[in-house]
Amino acid sequence: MAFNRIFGILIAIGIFIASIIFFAILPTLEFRKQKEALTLIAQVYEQTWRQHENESNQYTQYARLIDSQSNEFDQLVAVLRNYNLKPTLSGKSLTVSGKVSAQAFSELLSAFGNAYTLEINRFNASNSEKMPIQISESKMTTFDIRNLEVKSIQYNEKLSKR
Amino acid sequence: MININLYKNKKPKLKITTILFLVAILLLPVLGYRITLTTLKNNEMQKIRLANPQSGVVLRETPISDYDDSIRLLTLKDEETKTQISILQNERRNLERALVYAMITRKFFKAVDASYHKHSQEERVFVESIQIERKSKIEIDFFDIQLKAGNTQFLFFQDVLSSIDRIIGNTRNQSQQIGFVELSALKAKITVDTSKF
Repeated sequence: MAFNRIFGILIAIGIFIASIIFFAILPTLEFRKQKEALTLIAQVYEQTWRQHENESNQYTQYARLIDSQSNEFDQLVAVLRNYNLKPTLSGKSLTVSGKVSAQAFSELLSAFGNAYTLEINRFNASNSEKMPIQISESKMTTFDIRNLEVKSIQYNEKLSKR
Repeated sequence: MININLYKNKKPKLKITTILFLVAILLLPVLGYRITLTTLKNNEMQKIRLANPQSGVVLRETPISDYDDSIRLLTLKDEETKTQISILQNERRNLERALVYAMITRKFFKAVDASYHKHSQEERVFVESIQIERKSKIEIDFFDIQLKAGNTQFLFFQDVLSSIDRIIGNTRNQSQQIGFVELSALKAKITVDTSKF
């Protein structure tokens, strides 16, 4: 009789302790671990997101700058056509060769001197006269342009916030 | 008064209902703690979401008490964002390089133009050739001729060289003074190294 009672009490205490371990202590420890991990990854993500925002803003600023000067390429094409040059266009890049007057050459250099978004990849121009032997002559000089390659700077619209 | 035990010979039985009842009573505090823990989890999750608003936006997609899924989702989103940053950085560097190169060519021609206009009264400049090669150089060959006899100061050359050197840097120059009728002339070449752009 006494043995049964003690046995019963021991079983009850065993169940109680086991339930505390399985339903209270272990879940608490697991929760602490998860909370620390989640707090850490949340902080890391916040930093990553801020960095993404900074990069994205900077990229958008460049995109705005390029957009604000977007007519430069068309103006260059117009200058070239105005002086009877026939540029070969491919999207926002062009190649052209030909002879131009000193005035046209000066205007072309002026366009380059005001261009914020034009990449001159190749430009080879030489005076068709031998200088300075003929400077005193009234004859107007011409410039021989070979392989002028110009590209307008482009940005990826998908990456810009515009 | 005499105490008589009427159940003296009755064999004690442990009923199943009694066992279940006892077990239930023993489990009650533990179950209570479980409920407390769940509430605690929800509160902590709210705190994490409030302290990290962007993470909070991402975590709206998962149940509030699901820590494992939340951690998995945030890790995935973090990786995705890092990949996007890497793409953005590459694109930005390319844009910067292109814009800096465009600025160099612009300033080069601006400097030539400004110096030319500044000294057009005293000197005459004849461009012999201009050469631009991306990732290599910008080069101008020219004659700088004094309009006054006996004057040996080549202001255009000095001015354009110092401007280009100051604004862009990486310049080399070659010059040779030659006599031209009664005037003195300078045959010069200015090269800007653009290999880094």
